[in-house]
Parts: sequence; structure tokens; C-alpha cells
Amino acid sequence: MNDRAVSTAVTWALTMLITTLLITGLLVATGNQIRDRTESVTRSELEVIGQQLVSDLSAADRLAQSEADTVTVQSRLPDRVAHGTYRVEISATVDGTSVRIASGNTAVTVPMANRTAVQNASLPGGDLHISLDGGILEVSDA
Amino acid sequence: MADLNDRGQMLLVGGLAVAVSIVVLIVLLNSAIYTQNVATRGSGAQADEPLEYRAAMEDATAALLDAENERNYTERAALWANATEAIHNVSAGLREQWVGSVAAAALDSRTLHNGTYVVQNDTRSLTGDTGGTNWTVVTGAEAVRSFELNLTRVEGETLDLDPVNGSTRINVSGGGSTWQLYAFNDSVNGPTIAVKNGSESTPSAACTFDFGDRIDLTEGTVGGTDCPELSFAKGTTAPWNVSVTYGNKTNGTYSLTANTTQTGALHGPGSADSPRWEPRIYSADLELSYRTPDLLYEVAVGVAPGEDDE
Repeated sequence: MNDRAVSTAVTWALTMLITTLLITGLLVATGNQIRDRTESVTRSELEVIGQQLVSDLSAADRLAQSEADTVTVQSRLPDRVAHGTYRVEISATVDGTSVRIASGNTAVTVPMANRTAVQNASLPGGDLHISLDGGILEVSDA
Repeated sequence: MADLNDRGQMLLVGGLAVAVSIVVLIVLLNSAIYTQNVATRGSGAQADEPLEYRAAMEDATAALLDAENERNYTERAALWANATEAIHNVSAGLREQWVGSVAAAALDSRTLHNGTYVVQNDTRSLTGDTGGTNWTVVTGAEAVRSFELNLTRVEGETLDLDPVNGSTRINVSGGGSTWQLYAFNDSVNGPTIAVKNGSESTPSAACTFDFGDRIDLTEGTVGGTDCPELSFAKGTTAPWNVSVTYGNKTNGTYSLTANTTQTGALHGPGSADSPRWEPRIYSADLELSYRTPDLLYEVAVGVAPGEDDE
């Protein structure tokens, strides 16, 4: 007689256990998925931003090479990417000029071929202003 | 046992968490799609159009200055006025063409430079308008182009500077020294030109030529082939004075265009006699600008028609 009504309690406990496992599994899986997607989307965005900036710099480079007196180019870039804010670093070395765009742990480097010297710079993401000053292209906050 | 009212809470919370995750994923997917969209768009600033405008303006101005120069005006003022108006018209036409692409293409300023065309198209001795053998062609020339000689007779067998035996020489002096071109008849090689650079004291033989060969002083060619020793006005600096010594020793035709208004022993414009001068626009300096919301391009362009013809 002591065993009566035990099966209801066991059923309930099992249901709770299985439900908890299922929901935890689902949450962990979607959490990982979100993290992966965020990184992949951020990487794509940084790549596109880097290429746009290099494209604008190349346009300024071409114009500067035509013995121009004044060249200014507005590079219209987004303020944020999926991961949050980002930074732009322009570095010229003997191997060439490259633009590095970084947000969190994700960073993308886009190389560029230029004939006009480009000033090194490290700037927060957003609209940028490219200008020719004394034969050197300078990038600054818009 | 839990309160009956608490039943299903875990499912509710779990379901909400999953729903939020799905919304976040959708937002990320949207970002990805937007990024792909941006990636396939053209960049904001394009260098093609400003460079195209500059090239169009440069070519059009060169062509119209050529055309105006070839009309053989007899007065500088008329040539100047027509050339100025023509450049204005070209600029206005091109400006309208670029209005469609939301760009302001403008000619901010223009400066024309007067020039003088000197020509002897009758085959005669290289003497001045009144037959002077030692005479000045032009003075104060900031630049000279298309200086071409076509000789049909040369005298003077040596490079002797003696006036009796001397050969015809063309003198280009500037900056305290003189560059000279001698045309003489070498006893072995036939008609020959010799060059004395500004830094040298004696001339040295440069190239031989046949009568009728075009000797291009500014291009450094004889009969179309390169003559390395013939380097116009080497060792001297502008402004130049161009003169001829012993012009009676040589026959032929010639022409040159100089960036000056000071002429020597020449017939005036409108005359049919040689040698004579005619007004020209030597060159034009243009200041161009091209603006769009994303771009500003300003450039100064020098247009010298005929300088790239050969």
C-alpha cells in the first residue's frame, strides 16, 4: 500500500528532467549559433568597410597623382558593426600600405596599392575625411 | 509538490529565451544581407569623373587654341578676345554635361599667354626683313617650340668664326650664355649642323643632313631621326633672345613659335613677305575644380597646343 501514487511523482520528475535538458540544450545551441553568426557577420562588415575605405583612398590617390592642388574625399562608413564600435588603423610599411579594421577580437586587414604616400592613423569607426596635404594623403575624423 | 499555479513556468521561460535568440539571429541575418548589399554598391567617391572632366577640358582647350591660332589673326586683341570667349564656351558646355551627375565642374580661372609665330615660307636667304645678315628674330622668349629649319643651300666649309668664311648660325642666348646652331658644308660629309652648348666655347659637329630635310631644333631631330647632340638651348636659361648671324650664307625656310611679344627684324602680320610674325596664343593656364557631396578636386592645368604634336 506504501507504493501507491509513486508512479505520478516519478512521471513528474522525469518530465521535469527531460524538459530541463531539452531547454538547456536548445539555449546552449542558439547561444553558440548567435556567437558564431555575430562573428561572421562582423567579419563581413569589417571586410566591406575596409574595402570601401581602400576604394576611397585609391580614388584620392589617383586624383593626387594628377598633380592636383586640392583633393578631399569623404568616406561614408557606418558608426557600428554587429559586434559594436570598431577602429580603423592605417599603416604604411616598406611592404606597402594596409588598412586594418578591428572590432572586439575580430580584425580584417585590406592591403592597398598606392602611389601617393598615406599618413599612418588610428581612428574610431564612422565617417572619415581623406585630404591631400603636402603630397601626403591624411585620413581624419569627418 | 509545487503550487499548482507555478506549473509550466520553465516552459514559458525557456520558450521566451528561445524566441529572443531567434529574434537576435534574424537581426544578424539582416545585418549580413545589408552588408552584402553595401558590398555590391559602387564606392561613394569615384576618381574617373573628375579626371575625365580635366582631360576633356584640357583636350578641348588645346584643340580650340590650335584652331584660333590657325586663323592667322592680324591683331592680338581679336585673337585674345576670341580665344577667351571660346574657352568660356567650352567650360560652360562641359559644366552642363556634368550637372546630371550631381557634380559642379567649374573653370575657376584662366590665364592666356601671348605668343608669336615667326615664319619664312619663301625659300630665300636667312636674312631679316630688310636683308640684314646679322639680325634679331625675337627677344624675351620664355619658351620656344616647333622651331623647324628646312635648308636648300649652305655656305662655309669650316667651323671658322671668320666673317668671310663663316657659316650661318642661329643664336639662342639667355642667362648670360649662348647656344648656337651652325649650318655649314663639310668638305667630306656634305651639309652638316654643328652645335655649341651654352657652357662650351667651341662648336662641335652634330649631324649631317640632305637639302630638304627638316631640322627640328626643339625636338632635336634631323630629317625625322634623332640627333642626340641637338638639344635646344642647352646650357642657357629662359628668357631667350633668338638671333641669326651671317644669314646670307644659307637659304631655306623656317618657322618657330615663341612665348613672347617682342619681335625683331620681321615683317608684320598680314604681310605676304618673309620673314614675318603673326600673333598666337602660346599657352593657357587653367584652374579647374570638380565638386560632389563626397569629393573636392582642384587642379591647375597648363595647355600648350602643338607641343605634343610631334
